[in-house]
Amino acid sequence: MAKSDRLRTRLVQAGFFVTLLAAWSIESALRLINPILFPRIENVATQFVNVMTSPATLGDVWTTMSTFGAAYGIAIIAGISVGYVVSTSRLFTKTYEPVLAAFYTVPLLIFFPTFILFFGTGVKSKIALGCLAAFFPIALNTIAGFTSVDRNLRTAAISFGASRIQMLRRVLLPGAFPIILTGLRIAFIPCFASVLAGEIIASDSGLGHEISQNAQMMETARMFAYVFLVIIIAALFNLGLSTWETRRGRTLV
Amino acid sequence: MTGATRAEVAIEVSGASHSFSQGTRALAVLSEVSLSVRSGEMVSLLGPSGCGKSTLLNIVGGVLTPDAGSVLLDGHPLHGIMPHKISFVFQEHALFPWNTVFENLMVALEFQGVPAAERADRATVALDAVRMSEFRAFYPAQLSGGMKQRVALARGLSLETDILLMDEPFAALDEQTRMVFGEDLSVLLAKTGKTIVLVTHSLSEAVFLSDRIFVMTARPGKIKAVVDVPKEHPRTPDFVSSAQFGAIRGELYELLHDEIRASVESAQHVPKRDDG
Repeated sequence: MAKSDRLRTRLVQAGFFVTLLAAWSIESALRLINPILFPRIENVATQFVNVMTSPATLGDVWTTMSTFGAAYGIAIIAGISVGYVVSTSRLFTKTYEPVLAAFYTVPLLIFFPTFILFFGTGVKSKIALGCLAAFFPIALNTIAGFTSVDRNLRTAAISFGASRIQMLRRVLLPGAFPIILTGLRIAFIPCFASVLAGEIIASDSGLGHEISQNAQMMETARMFAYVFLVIIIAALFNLGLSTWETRRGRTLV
Repeated sequence: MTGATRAEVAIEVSGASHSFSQGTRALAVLSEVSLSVRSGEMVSLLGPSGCGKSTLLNIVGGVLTPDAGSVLLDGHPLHGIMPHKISFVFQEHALFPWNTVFENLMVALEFQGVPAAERADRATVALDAVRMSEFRAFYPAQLSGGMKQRVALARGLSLETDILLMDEPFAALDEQTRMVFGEDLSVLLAKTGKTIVLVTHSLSEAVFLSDRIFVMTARPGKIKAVVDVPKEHPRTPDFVSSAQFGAIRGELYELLHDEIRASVESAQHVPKRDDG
């Protein structure tokens, strides 16, 4: 029952994408929209093959992903550390959690010009922006995770003689892990988007730079090839994170 | 009693008072409680909910420092927790959900500071004692309520402390599971010779398991009476249907009736805390 339901859902989803591609193919054949603005499907496919086989692509992917990796990595370390410190006292949590939550609602892209002034148009300004975007959801979820650990489990650990380090390693981290992991997944999109936005606005390399350059040169088919490459990377990363998340969740509940 | 060679009085509480802050005012939960527990004795703290019996247990265990009064263990003042001397079995088991049954025991032994080489043996022996060995690789979520509580008991036993404090270990169990668990507990604890303090709100459990029962008043809790249960351990199911059992249970009911009524009525005015 459940299995056939899932199959049906998957079929409908696949059907939706097939319909989109079919509509695009028909549009391309009939030349309904100016192909300079909206490229034909076969040209995008050709360009996609070109992009994927071009040795320069590896460099662009490396630039974007290493920038993203640095931003995400720093945000994870900073977010979990700050989250842990804030969660250690009820007063800290009451004071700082709303402050962090307020920052989370600010569209952080508005700080990008400042970062360009500070760090220039190289990768550093994108790392700063991506890091800032990922920091808040990670810190907030870390606080939520640590404070949600059952008080009875903490009391039990204390009564057995757990040290502060043992409490962190054996009780707080495993207890908070599923919620922290959700924070990491939530933080992925704003982080990756900020790095790409930074590259689109001002940069000299990376996938965002290619998208922006090709758009300016009216190479829309090639631009779309890069767009699809970005979509594939984001989808794969997200799939990996949610698989990890559900697998963790299943063993615990 | 088994503990005759040890210090006669294992736990001595004198004049313990405690209150919790509730908004701007203080809510007194314990008022000048004094009691002593002999070595190897099994006692119950019995009282209406909110009478401070769990608070008293936490004070005895060093998890909570009372506002006033003192606790002596074997004649020495208690300062904070003493994981080598006292272990707990908690209400709702408090097993770590991310650890298997076996790992739960191993982690507690690690916290207590038992050398790594000894932990596996002690965990295995304790799981055997509660007949949970075949479930050692299970996660708590895969076990029934009674099984979880048996694992929690095994964890307490594996720590090999002289004193075992049990905070409503039956609270989450259905009545039939309670009966069987109670019988097992009586057999097991008679063998170990530990000093045991059990918090409960069940009259039958208190009678079935205890040598002495401390009946507490409604909040703020005081000791209202001490009731003896002169019957050797281990106790068997036919004790439950004996006239002696019925008489003691009746006496407890008399003592508690007014307190329970007072507690129920005051609960309508004061928000309930889960500190017992």
